Amino acid sequence: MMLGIGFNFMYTTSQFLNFAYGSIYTLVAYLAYYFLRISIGVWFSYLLAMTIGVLLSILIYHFAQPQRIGSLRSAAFTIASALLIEGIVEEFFGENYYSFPLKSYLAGYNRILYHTIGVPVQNQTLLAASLSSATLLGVWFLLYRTKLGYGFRALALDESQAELVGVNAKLMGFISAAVGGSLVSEASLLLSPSGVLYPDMGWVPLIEAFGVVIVGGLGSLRGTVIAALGVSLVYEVVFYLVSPVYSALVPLALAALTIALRPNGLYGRLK
Amino acid sequence: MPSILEVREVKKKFNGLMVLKGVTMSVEAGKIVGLIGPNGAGKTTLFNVISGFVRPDSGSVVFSGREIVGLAPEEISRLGVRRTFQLLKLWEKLTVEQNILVSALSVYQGESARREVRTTLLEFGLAGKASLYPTQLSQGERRLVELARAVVAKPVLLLLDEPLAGLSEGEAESVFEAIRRLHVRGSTMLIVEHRVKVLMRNVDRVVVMDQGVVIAQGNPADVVADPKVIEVYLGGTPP
Amino acid sequence: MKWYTLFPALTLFALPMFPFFDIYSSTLDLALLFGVLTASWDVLAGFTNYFNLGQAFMFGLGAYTSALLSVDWGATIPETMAASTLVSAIMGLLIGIPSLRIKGPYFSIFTLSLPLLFEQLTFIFPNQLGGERGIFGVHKLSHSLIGSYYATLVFALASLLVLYVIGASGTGLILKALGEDEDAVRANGLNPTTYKIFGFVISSVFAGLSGSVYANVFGFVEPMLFSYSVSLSVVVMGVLGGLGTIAGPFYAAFLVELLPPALGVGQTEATIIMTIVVMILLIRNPSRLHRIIRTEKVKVEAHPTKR
Repeated sequence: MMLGIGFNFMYTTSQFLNFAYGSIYTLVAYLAYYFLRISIGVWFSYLLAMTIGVLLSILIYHFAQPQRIGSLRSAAFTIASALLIEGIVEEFFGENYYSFPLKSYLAGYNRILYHTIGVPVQNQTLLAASLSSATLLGVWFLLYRTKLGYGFRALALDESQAELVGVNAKLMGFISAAVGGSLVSEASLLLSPSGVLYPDMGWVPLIEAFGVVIVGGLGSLRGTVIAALGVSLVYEVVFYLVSPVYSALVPLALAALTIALRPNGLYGRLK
Repeated sequence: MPSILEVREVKKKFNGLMVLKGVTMSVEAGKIVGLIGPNGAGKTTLFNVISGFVRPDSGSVVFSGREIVGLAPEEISRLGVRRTFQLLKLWEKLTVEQNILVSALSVYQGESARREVRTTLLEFGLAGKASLYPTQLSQGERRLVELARAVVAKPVLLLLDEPLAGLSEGEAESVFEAIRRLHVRGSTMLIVEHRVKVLMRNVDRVVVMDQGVVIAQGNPADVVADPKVIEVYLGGTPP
Repeated sequence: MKWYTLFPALTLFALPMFPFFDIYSSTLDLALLFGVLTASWDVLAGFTNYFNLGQAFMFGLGAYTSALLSVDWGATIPETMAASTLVSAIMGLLIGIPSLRIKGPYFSIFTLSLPLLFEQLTFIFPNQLGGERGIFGVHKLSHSLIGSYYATLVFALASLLVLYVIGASGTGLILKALGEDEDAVRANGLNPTTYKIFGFVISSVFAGLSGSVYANVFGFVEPMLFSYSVSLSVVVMGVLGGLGTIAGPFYAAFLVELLPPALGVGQTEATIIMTIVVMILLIRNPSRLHRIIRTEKVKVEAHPTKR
């Protein structure tokens, strides 16, 4: 379920592969931590961190538009930005900053559920699950019920055709960067509090998200959703039945499998 | 005369559209065959099938007595079928000489490869431009380079997809000159061209395609007079 | 890619004469090894445009192989290096064969996960693989600073030469063609995957060898060797030096590694500076070090026969 959010942010980069999302994830987490530390107040900290994440995403997109500078340099640029962001984080917060999570009223177990099911479910997890489902619904709604979303889907299918019909590709690009950024930030804010913070932390979720996207196929939301659910399911199963350590390899193994069997993923179409 | 290439009932469907509806034709050794037809007739698709880039749904393609459907493009290439592309596919970051060398390396090694390249460059009159990059050449010269590249490995069958497209009269003449020289040396060729007049003057046989099937084939004079062919070109330029 | 680009490397022989040598010798050693690592990365990435985002994986693999063999089995240095070569080559094949058939971006994403994989393994098997702290006590190549330096230098220059020769060869040409248009390569009778795998294996072998030398020069290995910063720095340094030139990435990596002592900044700051520079270059025109030289050459040749 946790991955359910992770996947979201990769989808939006269907036009453009942004390797820096991992670092944005990291940055947002650190920022949130920092803001909380200096006591700005929970909601404001989160909001601020998220805004910065979104802005960064847009900024990177602005400079790295593949149409303008070629997809290769675009990718290289995002890789460099990723390193840069990580470097800055390391600079200000120190290298192996195993600093502990954001303790807030969200910590602790939900007693109601505990009593009914007998399994301790962290409050944070509940929040993550519900918010991610809500976001998912929101994104689905956006894509399939609004005019904007229609534009996105058109663009994903055929860029030149879409432009003929009046879809502003450039603007869309920025919007999707914004959406992508907000999804990443949201994911970070929901997931990272339950763990530890360290400069490299963004890569694991990024890889898992990539793995999910590969399974689901690049460029299709439906595919990524289903893939995310499926992958997390397998992940959980492996986690509890086999052993926690091997479960980390699940998304990758599945991705590898997908590449071997169905190179375009379940629903995807690569340009 | 033996048939170097035999295409039998090749069918191909793309996204629900039948692009090739059962194409049957053949090319005899040492001949130049022209392939004409209106846009969308399926000519390039046929080329793609023969050269292995597209796999037909059914039918067979026999080259020198060997079934080549299902083989990878590079295998078919090595067997002796080389092609050029409608939209030039030169490697812009490589020099003229290097472009041809890469192709030579598929069949030759090291020094002999370079020798073959040099010979080919001379033949095509490109020796002076060997170290230039494709962007520095005229369109006609670029076509020549692609031709040279296809020819350096001494292919048995050459598939030329619109080799004269985008060329001025003068450039077209020099490219066709090169093609004619190849024919004289005994190369077998299948050429798709829209400049039908030029084609008709220089080929041994013509195959006319429309809507995924062959509607006529034979020598140029007969084909031109064929009522089916005239009908197809109605509204366009009659051949 | 002109052969005279290799000449500056020869000046490195003179370095031990300088007074600062003793303090910086280990930095120099490291810089040389990163140079080879980045150059080896370039063989695949700069030519075929398949960006390996996990080059550190092979580096760490080679390092750990050597370390393990040395510590647990008492192998001699040549043996460990040979073993590293073998292991890297095999892993290169194992990983390359399935993954090079797919398109570039997918390949990049896949390689991204490799270092993670190894890292996980070091944690899963802490006893054999040393866990977080790594493995110590590897048999050292030489106990003198100069000895280590020259050994590393010889290795680096030899590797650079080999990599360069490969790049300038017919195979290198084919790889370059592949990077531009795979279908055209197919149409001309060459199997793209075979060559891509070759490039990847070469890239892996030299990465592994550098790792092996690392282990033998520094005497220890640790999981940090496969950190993302290493892999990604390789990418950035490679881009900075000029994709496809082999020598460019080598120099770029070498110089970047020397930034911290030269400017008196820490490793992190150096990374930050480097990434900013690359980013600026990427957005502006492709005016990287060797591209400039190339465009000059093209200009000269574009004014043809002025007889």
